[in-house]
Amino acid sequence: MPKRWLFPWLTSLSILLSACTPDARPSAQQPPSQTSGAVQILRVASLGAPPRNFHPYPEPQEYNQPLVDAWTLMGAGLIGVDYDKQDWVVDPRTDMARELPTVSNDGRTFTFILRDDIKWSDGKPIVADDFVFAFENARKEENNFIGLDDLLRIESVRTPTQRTLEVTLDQTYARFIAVGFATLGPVPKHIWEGKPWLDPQGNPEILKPTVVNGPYVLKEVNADHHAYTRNPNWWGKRPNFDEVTFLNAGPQTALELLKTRQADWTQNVPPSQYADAKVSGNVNVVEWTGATGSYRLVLFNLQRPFLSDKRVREALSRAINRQDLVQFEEGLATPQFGLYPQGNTKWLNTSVERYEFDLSRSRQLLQDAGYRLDGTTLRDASGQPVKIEIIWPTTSQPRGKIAAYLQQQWKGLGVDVVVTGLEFATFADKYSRQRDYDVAMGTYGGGSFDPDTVKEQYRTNGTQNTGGYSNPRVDQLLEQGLVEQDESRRKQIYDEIQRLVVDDLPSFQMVTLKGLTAFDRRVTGVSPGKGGDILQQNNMQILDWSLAQ
Amino acid sequence: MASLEDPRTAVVISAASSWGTYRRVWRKLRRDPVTLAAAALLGTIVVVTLMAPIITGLLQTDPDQILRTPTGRIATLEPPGPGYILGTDDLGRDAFARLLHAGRVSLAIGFMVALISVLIGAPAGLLAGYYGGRVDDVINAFVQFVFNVPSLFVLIILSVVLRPDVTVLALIFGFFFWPGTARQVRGVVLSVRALDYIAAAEALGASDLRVIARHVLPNVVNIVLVVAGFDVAGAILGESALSFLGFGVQVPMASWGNMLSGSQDFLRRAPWLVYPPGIMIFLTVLSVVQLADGLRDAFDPRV
Amino acid sequence: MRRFLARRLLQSVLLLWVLMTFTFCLTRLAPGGPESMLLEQPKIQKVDLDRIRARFGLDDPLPLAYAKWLGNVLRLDFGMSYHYLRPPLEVIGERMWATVQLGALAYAIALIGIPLGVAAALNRGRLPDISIRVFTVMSDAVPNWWMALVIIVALSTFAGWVPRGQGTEGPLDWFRHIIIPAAILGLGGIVGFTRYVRSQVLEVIGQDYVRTARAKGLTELAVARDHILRNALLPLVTIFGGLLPALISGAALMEVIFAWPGMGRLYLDAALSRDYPLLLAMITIATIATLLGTLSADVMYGYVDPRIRYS
Repeated sequence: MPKRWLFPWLTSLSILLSACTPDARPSAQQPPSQTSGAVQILRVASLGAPPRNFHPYPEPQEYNQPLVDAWTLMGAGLIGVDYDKQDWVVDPRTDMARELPTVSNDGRTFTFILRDDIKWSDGKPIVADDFVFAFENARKEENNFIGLDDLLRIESVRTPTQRTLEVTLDQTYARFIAVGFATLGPVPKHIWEGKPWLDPQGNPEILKPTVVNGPYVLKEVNADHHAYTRNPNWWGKRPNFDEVTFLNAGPQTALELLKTRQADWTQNVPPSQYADAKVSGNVNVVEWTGATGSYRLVLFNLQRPFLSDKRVREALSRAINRQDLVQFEEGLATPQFGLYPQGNTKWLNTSVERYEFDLSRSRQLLQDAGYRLDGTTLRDASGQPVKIEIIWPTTSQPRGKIAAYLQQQWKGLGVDVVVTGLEFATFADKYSRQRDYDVAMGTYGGGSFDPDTVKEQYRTNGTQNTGGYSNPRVDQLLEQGLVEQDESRRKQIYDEIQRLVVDDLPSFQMVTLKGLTAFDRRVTGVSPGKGGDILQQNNMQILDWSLAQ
Repeated sequence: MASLEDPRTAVVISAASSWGTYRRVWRKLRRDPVTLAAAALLGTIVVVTLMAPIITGLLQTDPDQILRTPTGRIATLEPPGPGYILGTDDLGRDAFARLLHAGRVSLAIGFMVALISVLIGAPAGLLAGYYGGRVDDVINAFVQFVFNVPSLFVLIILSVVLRPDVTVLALIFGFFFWPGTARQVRGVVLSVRALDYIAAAEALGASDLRVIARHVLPNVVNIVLVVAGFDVAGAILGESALSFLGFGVQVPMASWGNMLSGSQDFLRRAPWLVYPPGIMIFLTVLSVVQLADGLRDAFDPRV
Repeated sequence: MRRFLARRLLQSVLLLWVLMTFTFCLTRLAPGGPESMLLEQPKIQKVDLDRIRARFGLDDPLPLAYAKWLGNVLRLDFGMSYHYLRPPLEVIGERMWATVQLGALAYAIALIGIPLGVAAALNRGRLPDISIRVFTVMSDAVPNWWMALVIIVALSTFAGWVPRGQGTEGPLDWFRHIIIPAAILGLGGIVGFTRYVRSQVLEVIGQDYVRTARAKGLTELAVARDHILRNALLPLVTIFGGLLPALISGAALMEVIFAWPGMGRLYLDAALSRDYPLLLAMITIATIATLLGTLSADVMYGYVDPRIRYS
């Protein structure tokens, strides 16, 4: 239900095996008229294991793709996101507020008016108290909510009537961000009150929610699948599917299930199976470039003497040919320039330095930086051969491929490169906590398309800035960007940030990955916009899908 | 992983043999074409993979080099043809060169595991069997410990704690394999000691060392050769299973296991990536096991 | 007998304790705790991590954490799974049945190895022996996970169907889904049994009493039935117990490939996400199963073979 809370949270070094964000070419098919009689079931082959619990305000370790899928079906938001316009919208098909919130003169207080007809799945009305109840519990530190940081920006929530929410933030923020902070999600107070917030022993709702506010309710969940059925009291647009079932599948069988018509939709198709999927008669491969698409980058550790010199980083970057990387991604990628995925057209500054592939320039830059090529070995001023290690997480084979590619390219410059694959938790520990690496292969993805999303990557001492990058001017601009009210001035600020950061080159953006997913041809109405997750984008487009007979 | 878990069922029947019996063993082997063929096959595989750098050098290919087509594109997933005998992989590298170099890695793991298993297991089994009593109890405690470890589970944790490279993987597998060797050797020593003439030799005051060297060791060598064969096979298959789960030898270093595992998305698209490493694992394991089997029969004096 | 049992039980308990301690230390030595997965979340601050570590009691020094854990385990309390927010035993209980089904069927299939082994031994050097040996050696030389992948593609192409998870629509559907992973898993067992039985039977054939029986003019069948089989198959009971944990371990790969909702996959997930309580509970249970297996094998051996005297 606090769907809107969950969205910004996907911004992370992608843990997933591949880009799993379908944003697609619009399909010409129209949803067929309601078919009577037959029960329509959408069977989804999903790589993620079924959610282990369904806490609406999950702890950080609970937060994963299946949980997001679950709440996309079972939840509704106050307002929604239009990924094409990259702005907030209110969609009567799915949203609980009557319209976008009104803003007070000081820009800190946002007033939402709830629709009169919204109900929980047990028929009880959804009221302002449900929001306040959720807010007051989730903001308690001991309840460990993953989005606590954002909740703490709310100074107060007042409910003049049961249909009105007045949310006051601690300061003014840029409008898009502020609305995000102010948008709360409800929990059914009449069910949850008096039950422990975190302990499933005393609160079975955590393991199996019975009362929700989305188009679907949980039917069953076990280690094999999780299934949802229509919410009889749903007040929004009626979905075409009577049931949606997520079947857990291995990467070896997911696509085969689609081909053999044992599934109607395979959520995650590894790019290496793309060609295979395309030639299968009953498979409709859907691909798109999202505003929140994943992108791959080379992360340099600026604390390492060799890499602290920008000329060296530029030399290494210019040895990478983005076209080669597009080929490794099976063509499902576009070269990226600037700090945002290529689909984030609203905020991307494409006129930054591109560091185009140029090996002779690379050699020159290394020479300028005081390194000399001795035969096939690059030596520093003291005559020591230059060595670097690239780390990558073994859960992401494509990153291993790129690392092997970089090893070859940089070997051509005389740099001795060791490639080390690490199991994910080990990788995360070494990269994020110990910060003990030279070069890491990164993939960022999901999350918000708001430009502030990269702040922690480039801010001095940012939580994701593990390479030790620091530019006071960038820090200053990031602070300004967070609060700037004027959209066009805000655009200038982030254009400037992108120019500065790309000039400093703490990381090298390589390619934006396309979203990729595959449906059975019988599934109609699929028309991905520019969102990340196809289930979420354009306010629950699953409501438009149906199964042709 | 089944083979890794297989009970060491290859029981060698111990008998009084001594260093002089090898001529007889050889005579028997000569009449066993299957075992000879296995030995020849294994020998060929070992020699060819050992010579991998020379061979790929002659063919002017490199297992790590990323190849390009005349148009400048990376030669990804090219089918076998002129230029690349076994085609190229998804990174545009010569599959043949990688296959040969991978063989070095896989065989190295196989033989290192066998070596570790024998170096720890044989002395342990020898001591346990010969001295019995306390020594036996202590060694048996270790053996029981390893036997009762849920191996796959611990393998996974171990390869997380220790970074999986060739040596580490060999040590991990060796840790799980040596008790098998120890048990077999102990059994052999016990049977040999039970023989009348050994008892007589001991009664006549022959030293421990002398008895061990003259009468026990030959039998132990026999069993060790057989067990080592199964260890090599088990380690190669085990590495492939770990690779499949993502805990084996890490790319860009190639092993047959990780080549096989890496090709799983290309079963339909690029069979030239799928079958060669599979066939190499198959042939190697087949020949090693067959050789061990044949040796066991040859050592058996009753046949 | 009773004294033997008591001693073996004591040994087993000791062994269990050593193993538990070993795995406890091992899991804690693995780099990255359960919070490392979260490090990639952009908004995770140090305070968030500290809060999580405190919630899971990860800040205790190793000896203290160990003492606490062991104390709780003695009361059969394995703590709370970090991700399921439930006691590990409850979570394992839900998954165990699926693995037991798979393991049991694989085991039953593996028993085919017994007649195969007998047939091979009785026909030593002749066609049945050679073909059985070729079969065992060959099927042992193919990584079974790879065999599974090839079978999936073949099934998808030729049968238009692939097994996934457990069949839920009646016994036939159940069988359809389980038989392929179970058969692949059981293949290794067939090979093991065949080899073992063959060598056992060969050994018995060489014994004096068999020769005597033959000399007495008994038919080959009678000899085989009364003398060879009985004595050769006796030791089999010792490996019955030992194979069980092997099957559970081996099942993990099949569970991953065929999305079988069993313990093997649960274990892999727990290891990758560093769900220590769940991880340790699973290892403890797997070890107990192994120990019980070996123990029961020893006891059974005593019953079936009167020559064995426990001291």
